[in-house]
Amino acid sequence: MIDDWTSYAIADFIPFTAEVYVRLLERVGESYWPLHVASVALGLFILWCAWTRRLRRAGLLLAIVVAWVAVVFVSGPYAELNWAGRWLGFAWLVTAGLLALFAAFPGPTPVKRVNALPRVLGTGLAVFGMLGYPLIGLLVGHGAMAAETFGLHADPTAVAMLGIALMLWTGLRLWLVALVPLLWCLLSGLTLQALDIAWFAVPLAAAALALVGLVAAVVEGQRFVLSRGSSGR
Amino acid sequence: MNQLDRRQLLKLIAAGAAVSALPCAGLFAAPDGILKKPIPSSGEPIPVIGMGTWKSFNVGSDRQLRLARTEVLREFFRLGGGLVDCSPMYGSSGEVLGFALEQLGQPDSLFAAEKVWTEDGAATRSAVAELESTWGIAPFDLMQIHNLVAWQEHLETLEQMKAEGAVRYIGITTSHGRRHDAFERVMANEAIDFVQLTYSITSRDVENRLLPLAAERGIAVIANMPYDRGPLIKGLKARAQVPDWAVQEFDCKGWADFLLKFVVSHPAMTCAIPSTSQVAHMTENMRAGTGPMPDAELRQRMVRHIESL
Repeated sequence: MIDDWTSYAIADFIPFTAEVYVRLLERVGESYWPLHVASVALGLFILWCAWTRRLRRAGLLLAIVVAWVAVVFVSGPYAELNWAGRWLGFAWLVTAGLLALFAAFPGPTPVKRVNALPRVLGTGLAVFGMLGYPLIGLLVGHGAMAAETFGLHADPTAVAMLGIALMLWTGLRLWLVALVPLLWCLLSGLTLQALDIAWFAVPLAAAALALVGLVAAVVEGQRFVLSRGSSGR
Repeated sequence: MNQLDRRQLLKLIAAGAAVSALPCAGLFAAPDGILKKPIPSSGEPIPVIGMGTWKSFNVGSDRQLRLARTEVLREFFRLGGGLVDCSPMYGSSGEVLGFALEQLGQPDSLFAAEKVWTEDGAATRSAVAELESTWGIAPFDLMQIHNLVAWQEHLETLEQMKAEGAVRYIGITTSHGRRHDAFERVMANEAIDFVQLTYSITSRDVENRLLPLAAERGIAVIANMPYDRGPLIKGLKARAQVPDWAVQEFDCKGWADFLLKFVVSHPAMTCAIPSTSQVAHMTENMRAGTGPMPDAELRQRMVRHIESL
């Protein structure tokens, strides 16, 4: 049985070609143009809300964007190509639900607690997901419609989602909302690598940075608990 | 009793003609030049080069790419192709085949092969019905159990369906050398018409036990991954020309010829199913089913040559 599993390569799990994947990006771009401009503008507004610690507004708007991408990309054209897409789409919808829930009921941990490294990394990831990601396709020579855009394509949305999550939440809530975008970035990076697509390292690097932010958030949380304990004595 | 349509009638006539010729050689030349081998359980001849659809036909609802794949399939049939293989695991490939066959009008030579791929052993009939709807075709010529998933339950139902005429042949599949022990047990103990397994000049494990068993049990063999996942032929094309002796001995015109002729010239092999998304590559693939084939001695020389590169 172990021999069976070692006989698999990552490419054995990717049921489409690079040509088809790039066309998928292009088709989604063509279908929703000129929504790109509005979705990036909305993303920047969410980022501003997160930066100014307006958790409720940022979380709810992000939840809507994530649910939209689950429908128009992951459960839609992506799931046509990959039978696992319907389950991934469901996972995205669950994450959208969690984002909405945590925004509506902020809980006991104030957003002001998020600081230093997680906040810096989160801001960087969110800015890159919204403004940097569309440039990748253009730089490697694909058409403008194949440019991956926050709010329409999954990869930049997942990267920005990780960033906003790092800016807004701590503890268990942060891990719960970060889990699916983190796994998506890993899955996407490995998929692009198997397809020999040039920018495969981008989602992998985003996942690695987000992981650093998540660990930093845990450390910050421990420090907070310790400092509260010592001040209480 | 099901009424025979034109496609089935032509196949029956072909099978009858083939059975009458069985005492002769196992290789038949069709008028258009593509070589055919008989399915041992019936004698019906099928072209030695078929078509796989893993990755290549999974293009979703993209009309531009669907039309491009239709042209690949058109070329396949124009050059005498028959067996087209698919699986529910291949994403939208079945739907794309359905689209392409609708454009082409279901050629008479089509030998439609699909797979049941569900853990639910009670869902065989509904799975087959769904595939028929997806392709726009019924009955399938060959229904296989994908990777031996829930094989006992599916096989029992498929045997009933074969007896009812709801499928013409039944079989099992594996790939990349997985579960060969279980595969061998099914081959030895069950009444199946086809097996599908991985065989290429660089993946020859099946020569030891499975191919001799198939010959002994009268089971047709389909070779998937004859290019060993693709990089094999890409690497060869990039760094070397086919050897002169291959050109002289069996009119080898390129690496597709070299690799596919190696696969289909094995005495136990019935058909290879390379997969491609390009018309030019389909033309290359189909050319490998024509002309002289390497004999046992040449096959050894081919292996040594590839190993030396």
